[in-house]
Amino acid sequence: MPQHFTPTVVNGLVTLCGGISRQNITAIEFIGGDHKFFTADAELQHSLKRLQKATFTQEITIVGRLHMGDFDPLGLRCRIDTHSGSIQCDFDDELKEVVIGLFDELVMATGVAELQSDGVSVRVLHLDSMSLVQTANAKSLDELAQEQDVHAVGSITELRGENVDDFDNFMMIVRSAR
Amino acid sequence: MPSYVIVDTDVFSYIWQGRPEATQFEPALRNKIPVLSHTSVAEVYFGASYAGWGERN
Repeated sequence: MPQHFTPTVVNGLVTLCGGISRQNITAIEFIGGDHKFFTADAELQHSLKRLQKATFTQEITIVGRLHMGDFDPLGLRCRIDTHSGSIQCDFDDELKEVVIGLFDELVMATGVAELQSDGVSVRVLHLDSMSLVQTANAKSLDELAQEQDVHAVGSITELRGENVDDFDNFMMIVRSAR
Repeated sequence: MPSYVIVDTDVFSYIWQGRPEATQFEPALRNKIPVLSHTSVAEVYFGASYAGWGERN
C-alpha cells in the first residue's frame, strides 16, 4: 500500500467513491489542464472497500484501570477502562498471573492493537506487557499544610510577594488559558 | 481544627501583588489556611512561562 494511504486517507477515498454505481455516477475523473491525474471508478471503489476492511495494526500503550477478566484457557481476556473508553485486550498464558495481580489497579499496558477502519478506535489489544502505575498517594489538607509549613493567615499582606513586571499582561495570559 | 479556603488564581494573583481588588477577600481569608489547587499552580506557571519571566519573578 502506498505510504500516504493511511486509514484516514482510505476512509476519505471510500467516502469520495460512495456515489459511484452503475445506475448513477460511473466514474469521477480528476483532470488538470490536458492531463488526467486520476479516475475513481467501481473498481477503485471495490478495492478501497476491501482495503478498509483489512485489519490495521499498530503498537500502542494505554493507561487505564484494569477491570473485568476472563481466564478461560482458550481465550484469556481483560478490559482496561481508559479516559477515552474501554479497551478489550487479550493476552497469552505467561501474562495471566500479572493480570490477576493487577486487578482493579491503574495499569500501563503495551501491545499490538487491531484498529477499526477509522484507524483510531481499538478493536482489540494483544497485550505484550502490563505494569502498575504508581499513583500519587492522596494526602489530607492537614498533612499538606504541615509538610509545606503553611499556617492560617492573620492578614492577606502576609501573602504579598515581590512586584513582578507587567502583571496585567500576566493576568491576560493566565485567563487566555481557560 | 484549622479551616481552609481555596483561593482561585485571580484572587491569589491580586493578593500576591497587593492589588486593591485583594482587599475584598481579606475577611474570607483571615485566620484561615489558604489553599491553591493544582489548576491554579499550573495557570501561574503557564502565565510566567508564556510571559517569558526570568528566575527572579
